Amino acid sequence: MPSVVLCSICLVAALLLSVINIFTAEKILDNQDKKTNAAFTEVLPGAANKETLTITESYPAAVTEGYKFDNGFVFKMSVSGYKDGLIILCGIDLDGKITGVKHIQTNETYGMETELNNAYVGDTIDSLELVLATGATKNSKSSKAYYDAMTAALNAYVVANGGEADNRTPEEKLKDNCNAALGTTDVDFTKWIGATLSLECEIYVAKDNSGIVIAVGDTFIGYGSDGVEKENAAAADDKAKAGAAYEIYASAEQLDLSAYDGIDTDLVKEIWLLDDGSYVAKVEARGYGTEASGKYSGKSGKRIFIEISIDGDGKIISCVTTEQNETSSPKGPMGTVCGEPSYYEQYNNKTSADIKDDFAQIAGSTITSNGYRDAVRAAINAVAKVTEGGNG
Amino acid sequence: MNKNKRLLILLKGIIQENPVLILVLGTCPTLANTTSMFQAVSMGLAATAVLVCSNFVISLLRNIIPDSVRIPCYIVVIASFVTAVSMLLEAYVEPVYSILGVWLSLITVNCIVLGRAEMFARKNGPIDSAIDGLGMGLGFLLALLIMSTIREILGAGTILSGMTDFGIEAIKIPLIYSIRIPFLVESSGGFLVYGILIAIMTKLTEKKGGLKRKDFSCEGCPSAHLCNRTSCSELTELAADASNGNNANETNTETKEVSDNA
Repeated sequence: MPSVVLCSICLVAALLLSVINIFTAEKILDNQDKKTNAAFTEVLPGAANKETLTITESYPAAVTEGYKFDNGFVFKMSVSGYKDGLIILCGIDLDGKITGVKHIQTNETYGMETELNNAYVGDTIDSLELVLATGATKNSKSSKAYYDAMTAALNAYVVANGGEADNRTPEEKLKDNCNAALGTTDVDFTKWIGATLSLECEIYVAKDNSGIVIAVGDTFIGYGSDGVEKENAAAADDKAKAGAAYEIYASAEQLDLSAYDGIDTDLVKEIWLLDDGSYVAKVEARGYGTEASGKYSGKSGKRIFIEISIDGDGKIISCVTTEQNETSSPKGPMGTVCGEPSYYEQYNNKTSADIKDDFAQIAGSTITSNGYRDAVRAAINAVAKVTEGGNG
Repeated sequence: MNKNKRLLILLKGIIQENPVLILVLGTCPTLANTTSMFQAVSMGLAATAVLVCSNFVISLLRNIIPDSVRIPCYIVVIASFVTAVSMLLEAYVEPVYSILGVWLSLITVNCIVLGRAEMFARKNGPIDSAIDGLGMGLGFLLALLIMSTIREILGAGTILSGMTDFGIEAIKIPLIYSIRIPFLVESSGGFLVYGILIAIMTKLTEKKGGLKRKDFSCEGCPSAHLCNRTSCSELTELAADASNGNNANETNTETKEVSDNA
């Protein structure tokens, strides 16, 4: 009897709810459509005549829905930041430029997503760069998630227009471009940071010594180990810049450190003097990978390799980590952060006075941070000694 | 007489036995939905609708529902009304549905709703039960409104926030906005405001001879249906008699011992 009563109540309740559903279902669907369309209009102003795209395997994995409108596209991405469940809507116009970003669902730090929503408006697939939210650490998962979502959206735009998605990381793209310019295959390159910023060039040296590649904006020009420029249909201006940059590279003179007092040769391994009076220092920092303080023994036993370009007044022009073997944890990168541009670029345009004891500290990686800092300070000090003169 | 009684039932739920500030029920939705006045009013009205309807229906069915399955039956009734309210809001007042979010569905497990079904609706007539539901609902709404007013004005420095879907933007209150206390909008601030309001309410109702904690009527006792007594004061008297009886026996024993030793 009790179960009969309970079942009867359930049946009556279900019946009444189904009656209510009959009256409200259509209205609810209308409201949901309006809300979705309002979101579309928010990220792609003036969006009209929606056409649903079929998301095939050629689309980036993060893209879950795609819509085409008269004036552009809207893609919905699902990514994971600090927590799962970050769903982002991105509008892209017919020229491939991001017009608006909106998060539909988020479990990230309150407020961060609002700032990141606006950070990528106006970017294209070529100009897209990682943006860190204010207060975010260098290994911010939320910021990286947004960047990944934007990359996926822009690649989806390419696919929707009949192209192929470029799912390569920026490092992979750089390597491919350098190999193409030098005519090599699968060769790794390291960045050489001589005084080429004024020429808007970047120099990459092949690790197998087969030559160098000079990047002038999006143009890559290769020079063989014999100094001969590789055939490349680059613009004349780019070639001229590349040529000038090559001259700087080729004329660099390595200094004899033993001729100078007070240089910490344990940290500073090489100093090169360039024609324009600037210096390139190669240093090996003692991070967690080595016995930095005598209390820890690292896993790799290897140091952090850094190249620093310093002007004649002791100001850092550019700092690059070329190799590191620091630690990471299951929860995410730790000392390995020192290998990321967002970390080592903090040293750019700094002098010795700017680099205080707490400068550029990585959370949870004090030894790495301090070792890196000390090595950079040693490089600046070494250049100062060099500019003062030798030990006569 | 009936009208006076029903008026008392209504008013009791609003002030004397306010579910939030006196009975301390429904704490979770109180803290979660009082960061803006609009959200508080929305939650209060939705809960009131569910309370009135569920109390009425449960009271109608009170002689049919067996004791052994009364809780599941109450839950089915309450959940059905919550679902109905949810569907109606989503269809016709979508901004309210959006701002309440998951808390709308959680009215199903709100202590106030199930508590009043158990404590009042199952023992009283449908009209009285509906009025009790209305009183409790209005009491819930009042408490939420007071809390949200304090938290929104002093914590956020604004009024009318959360109403952008109605075309109304939040208004920043001059001077107060610049000295606002953001802590009050956080969970911990909500607890603080809640505690202060309970303290004030307790003080006020004590002075006016409010709910006397030492002598609850059977109406509020969850074990009343298992007990044959009419009042807990009977138990108090029995306990006092028993205690006096024991003391008398001990005195007689001591007197006898003294007599024997004498």
